[in-house]
Amino acid sequence: MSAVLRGNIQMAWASIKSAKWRSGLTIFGVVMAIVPVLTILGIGEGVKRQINEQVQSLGNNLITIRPGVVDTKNPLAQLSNFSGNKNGGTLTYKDYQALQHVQTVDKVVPLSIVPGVITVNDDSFNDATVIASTQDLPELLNRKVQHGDFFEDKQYGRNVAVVGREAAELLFKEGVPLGRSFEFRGQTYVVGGVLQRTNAASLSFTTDLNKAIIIPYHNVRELIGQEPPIYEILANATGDKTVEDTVADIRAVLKREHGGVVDFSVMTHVENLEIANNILGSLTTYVTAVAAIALLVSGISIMNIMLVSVTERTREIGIRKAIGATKPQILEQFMAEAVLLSVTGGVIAIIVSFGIQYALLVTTDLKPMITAEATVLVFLLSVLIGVIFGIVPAAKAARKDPIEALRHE
Amino acid sequence: MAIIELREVTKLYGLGDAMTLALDEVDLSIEEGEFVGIMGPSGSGKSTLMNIIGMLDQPTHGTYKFNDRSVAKLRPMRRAKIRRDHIGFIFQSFNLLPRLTVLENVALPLEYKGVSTRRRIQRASDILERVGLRNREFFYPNQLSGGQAQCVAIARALVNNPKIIIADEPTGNLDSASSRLVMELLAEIHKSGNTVLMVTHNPELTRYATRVVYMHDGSIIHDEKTRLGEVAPLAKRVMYGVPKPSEEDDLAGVSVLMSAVPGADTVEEPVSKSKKTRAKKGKKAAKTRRRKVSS
Ligand SMILES: Nc1ncnc2c1ncn2[C@@H]1O[C@H](COP(=O)(O)OP(=O)(O)O)[C@@H](O)[C@H]1O
Ligand SMILES: [Mg+2]
Repeated sequence: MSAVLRGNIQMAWASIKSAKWRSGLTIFGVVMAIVPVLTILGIGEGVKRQINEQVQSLGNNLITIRPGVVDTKNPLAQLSNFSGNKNGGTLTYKDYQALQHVQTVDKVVPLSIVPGVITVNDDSFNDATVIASTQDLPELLNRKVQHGDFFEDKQYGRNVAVVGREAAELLFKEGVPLGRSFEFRGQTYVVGGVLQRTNAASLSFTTDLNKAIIIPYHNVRELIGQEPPIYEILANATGDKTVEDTVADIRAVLKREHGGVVDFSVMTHVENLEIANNILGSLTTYVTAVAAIALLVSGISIMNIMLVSVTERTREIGIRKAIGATKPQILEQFMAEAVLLSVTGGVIAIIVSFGIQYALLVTTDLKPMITAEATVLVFLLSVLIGVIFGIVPAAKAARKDPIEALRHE
Repeated sequence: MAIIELREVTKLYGLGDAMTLALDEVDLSIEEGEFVGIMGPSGSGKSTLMNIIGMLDQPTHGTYKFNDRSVAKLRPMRRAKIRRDHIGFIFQSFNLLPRLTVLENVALPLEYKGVSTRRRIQRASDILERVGLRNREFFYPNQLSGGQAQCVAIARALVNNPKIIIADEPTGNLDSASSRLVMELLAEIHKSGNTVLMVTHNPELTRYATRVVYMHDGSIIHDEKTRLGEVAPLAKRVMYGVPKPSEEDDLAGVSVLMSAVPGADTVEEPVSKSKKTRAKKGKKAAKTRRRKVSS
């Protein structure tokens, strides 16, 4: 590094430090613009990896049937529809039974969410998810029962439950609560099995079984005196024909069941994951657009304080020129200052983003993953902001007439 | 051979009504090793002349040759480098950079030259030793007295071993004790073979000069050799006419100076045709100036 450049960087630091508030706020602007970009890139990468893992573990044989029509092209619009389900349609026990007779379908399970409060000893848990399903659920989801056994349909009438690892910890404060019991809707259930923990893919619509308490579907029909509404039916293809053929078969059967109306969606697991990917894609686009504006604003604020700085230091520029600084040397001095501002912002933003990544890892299901490429990209971006928005003020400084500058107070 | 050679150098500032003739066809050549004192009332163009000689400014008309090379033909980059390597500037208001330490201020021209940090510090320290401020290296300019600040500025001007030192009223902001210190330094620099140009209002200080140039309204009205240690003859007459040279007394000083200048009439009373036009221009410029002052 040349002596001048090093000197200029030292000078730039001194100058940045001498205007702490002004520099601080400008750097803050850069940080605020870069942190969302890096965080979203990290989340995106994490989700992508989780999805990959899921595809690996589930294969592409799994088929999901849901009430309502899902628009795979515009999944964000769908997000708002899930709660209200404006597209209508329900799935019933009859649908489930009909699917059991489709030739190309191997196994079928219904999934219902049963509202109610779980009580263990005297503690109640409102936020535990109780799912009613049937015996093939673990196999369909390629999920092992780590301890004990999953209930079988023929054990109909017995109040047994299988819990996810996190639900086990939540309710019983232990990892393997086999044989322990809880109260649900006036009945006592005994834990007969604990599911193996898996990494659920965030943003994909598969239920997170780590947090679920699963009870036999047939019991629920007794329990609440009606067919529990099914929010999802899972099925897999026999593999005799392609998955797409199986999907077509399922569609045909359900359409007939629903009186010719298609008020449901049948999707392969891969399609399901694609939706998650699409959602992520649009989210990234929106965040990037907002971040681009934020970057522009932070760049303008760098340009602004640099212009102020150049004006304030007119006399200094005159002195430097009088003692022999060349135009490029003055240009470099102010460029160094602008780039130092933006790069400081960039580095702080990278540190903050890693902090956020850690916080998300600990507190949510997301597994964000800020890659080295993303970090380098963001660093270069911050250099670029300094260069682009520093050039005009620096050129203004370099062009100053030394005589005029020396007369400046 | 003259190191500095000005031919009919004219400098105009501003446009239209606000136009000022700061230098009016000035001819001047300075040999290596001279100590030239420049005197004249405020606004007579002394600083403009110094800035042009120091390549901070360029003449509107006329030619300036530095070391026999036309400065106008040099590229800006080259001029900046000549300024850095061959010319040392000293200003009335010191012009130190407030955010740099004394040592850093002095080392700055070396930095622009690309000298390594170690050698920069070494050289700057040595120069500070020479001006007697080695013990102030890590002070900031605002922690120095005026005299000390000017000595630091001199050290900075000397750090690149320049051939020429240009000092524009270096003692203008200093008390007499500090002035003496600064002048002794300049005398020493001169003694070691450098060319020194110094603008001053104080006739006493012409003792240090080997030559004194008197300016008025952008022209050189008198130019005399003087002996080291003695007040220049014309300056002496000015001195007795105006006991305390100050801004207020400047105008009075002008009249004394004018009457003291032998044959000063020739400036007013044109002899040749070319001189006539020049005198007219001068008067016009003086009028403009007066207008500017009154407004
Ligand atoms: N940058 C400038 N712009 C306009 N007028 C100037 C400029 N510099 C000097 N002048 C004018 O030129 C004249 C000579 O100024 P200067 O050389 O500073 O005189 P001195 O140093 O003898 O006091 C003055 O009238 C001054 O107002
Ligand atoms: Mg002046």
